[in-house]
Amino acid sequence: MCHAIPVKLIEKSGDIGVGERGGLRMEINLSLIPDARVGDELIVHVGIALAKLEGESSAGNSGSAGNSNEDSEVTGRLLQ
Amino acid sequence: MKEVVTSAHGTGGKSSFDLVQKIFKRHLAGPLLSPDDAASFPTPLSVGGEAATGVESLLVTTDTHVVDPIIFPGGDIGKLAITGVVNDLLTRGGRPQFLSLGFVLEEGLPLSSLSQIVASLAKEMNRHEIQLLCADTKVVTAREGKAGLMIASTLFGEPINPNNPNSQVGGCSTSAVAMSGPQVGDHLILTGPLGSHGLAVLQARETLPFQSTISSDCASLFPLLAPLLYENAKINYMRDPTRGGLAGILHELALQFKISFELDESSLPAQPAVRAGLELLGLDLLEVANEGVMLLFVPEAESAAVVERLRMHPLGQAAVVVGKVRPSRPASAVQAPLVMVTALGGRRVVPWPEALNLPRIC
Amino acid sequence: MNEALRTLSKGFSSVRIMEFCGGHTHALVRSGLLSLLPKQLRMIHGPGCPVCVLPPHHLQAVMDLLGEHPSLTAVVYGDLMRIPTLGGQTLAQMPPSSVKMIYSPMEILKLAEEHPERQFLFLAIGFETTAPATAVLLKELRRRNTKNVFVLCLHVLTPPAVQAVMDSFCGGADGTDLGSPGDRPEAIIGPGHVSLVTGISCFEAMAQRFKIPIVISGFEGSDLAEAVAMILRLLQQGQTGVFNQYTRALRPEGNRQAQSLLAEVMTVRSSFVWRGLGELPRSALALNAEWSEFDAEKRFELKYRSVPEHPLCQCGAILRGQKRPDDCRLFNKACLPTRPLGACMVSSEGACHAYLQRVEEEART
Repeated sequence: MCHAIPVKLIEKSGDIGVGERGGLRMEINLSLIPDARVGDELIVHVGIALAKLEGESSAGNSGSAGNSNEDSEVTGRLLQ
Repeated sequence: MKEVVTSAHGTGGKSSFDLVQKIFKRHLAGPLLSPDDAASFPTPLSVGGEAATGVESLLVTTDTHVVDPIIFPGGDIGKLAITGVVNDLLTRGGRPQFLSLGFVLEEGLPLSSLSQIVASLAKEMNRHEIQLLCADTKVVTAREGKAGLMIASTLFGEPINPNNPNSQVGGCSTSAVAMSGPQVGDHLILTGPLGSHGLAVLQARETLPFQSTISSDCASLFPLLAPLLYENAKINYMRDPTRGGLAGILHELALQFKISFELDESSLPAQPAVRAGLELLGLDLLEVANEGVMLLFVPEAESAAVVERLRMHPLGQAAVVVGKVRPSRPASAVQAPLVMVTALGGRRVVPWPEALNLPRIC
Repeated sequence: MNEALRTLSKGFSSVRIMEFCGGHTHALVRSGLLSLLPKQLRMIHGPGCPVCVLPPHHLQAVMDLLGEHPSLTAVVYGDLMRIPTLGGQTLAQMPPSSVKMIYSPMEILKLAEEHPERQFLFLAIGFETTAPATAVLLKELRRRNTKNVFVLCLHVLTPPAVQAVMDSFCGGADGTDLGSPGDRPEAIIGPGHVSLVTGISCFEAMAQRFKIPIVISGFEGSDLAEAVAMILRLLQQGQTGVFNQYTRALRPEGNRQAQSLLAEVMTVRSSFVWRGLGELPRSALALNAEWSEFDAEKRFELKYRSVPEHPLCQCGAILRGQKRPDDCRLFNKACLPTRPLGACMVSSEGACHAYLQRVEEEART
């Protein structure tokens, strides 16, 4: 479901940006990520940017049971 | 429900194969009908008559070219009508020599486009010193919104003889270049990156959500591969993965030769832009058409040398081993003639492409 | 990695994990991860494929409408082009003037401007990931005062579908098909791209109610391997709740901009019929009254005919993880990707379609 790919923002003019991936250029609608900056890696679905890709430390969990980042890092190490 | 021809029958996938088996082969199969893309046939010399050509057998191939749009980045239907049959003849070790052409023109086709396409065809023909023997033209009513043309081309040529290009060698049903067919253990070598033709044509036809400089790989592979054949390089078999892509051709060959294949995902060659475009559209690199790539079957011991030799030519710089031939799988196993070892080290079945490639969002 | 998962799965005799999202099903198979998973892990392929769960009567109604309105063009994502309806007819077989395939809804703006003489009907399908794109289109249609574009809003919601699948394992007396609580998935791999929009708290109630860990995952094979490893660790520790594997993109709160835009233009339908799952309350979106000028359901009279499912089709049980595709007599025989009879064969994300790419069990080591 919901095929989305990471794209690098290389131009921005208001709500419209140009993204680049593998030498391809595509128009991206930025109205849902208004603070997107040139150079950001964005997750794009059907031409609309939905999220910014950031370092591994930017998100947590809903807080019900421990810290998932920690879990994720531990298992990440386990898997290497 | 009444069965009718659908566009899926033309994709080079399983539907195309079934159509040929169930209708065409049923009525038309004969002792000389080749399962390959080109066929060898006896010349008068070998059946006791006067040798007109000086060789015992000739090779022939035929192809009907349909592409929308008729002009696309990297080529056009005229160029394709020559490179397509040159490459097909080459799969049996044939040198392109004599040509027959049929044109079906659709009402409304601009004469300037027609002229451009025929000039492109002539250029490719002359580059290979191919001689046109005969041709025919018809005009039909255009389909909705389209005014294109279709070209049927039939190409004859003698087999390349590695021992002496001028001598008479070879039986009546084999070419002078002896290709034994794919053998278990053979390495699969691709001469170039996958997918650029299919994506270039798709981009020219549809409004795709990106801009790129991707152009079709449409090219004659004779200059790349003829030297290897003259040098008697150990090549057991060749096929060009055109319509239906690499997956389509391997499934056909698995049936034809009762073998199976294992592909190595990490080694599959593709330009980054092609990879990104296919990823964006949710399409599969293995199912997209190529027009300038050959798949070679080479014994493992020789494959490194063949790859090195291919890389010396501009058309073969990306040549790489992508997999190997495995024995036929037991009948009890799920039908899996084509298995991919993934980048993650897992395995999956690569199915026979079933239908048209359409972009998807999910 | 294989070894790490093997080590982690020691001590479990069997673990049932449902990946809800069709994209995850696709990635599990495509990456070969499914062939690497230890044998005691059983993946249950959930119903998260919007094309699969769309009842064909919607497409049939649109096709019928196209027949009545020669100046109408249906605008669709490529995924819908080959879905067969009554008599096997697909949108791909309609004349090009009647059907236009798009990649992004933003393309519709240009179409509408270039062809003012035509009307365009956008089949807006997809989960919460795709719904915001429809909302962005609607805002832009109003800003430009476009009058010839109408939206058939068929967006569906993830939590009610997950809930429906989990609830079906209640061992209830009302259906012979229902699984027992003992067959219920012990953990869920949650939808990474849906969550980019919704955030992860919407899955919290479910995690608490069924006392399971839900790990929201990215879409690379390595993401899913990590998600499975996280689940095994959480199960070992007896932890429940919602956890985030997809930290490089997913913020727990989701995309607030998208959430408020969806609230502005859409409303939750009181109920919606899902192919394979049946009627689920509050499980889909419609345009709200403020946007009725663009609402295809208000503008056109869509006539719904019943499009019956094949009597032998097992998609309902397969979507709920109670049967496997090869338990179905139609699978890979009468029901093929070229002529799918049931929801799960319709798209490459459907469980049955994905099953065709599995390396057979005996080849797994």
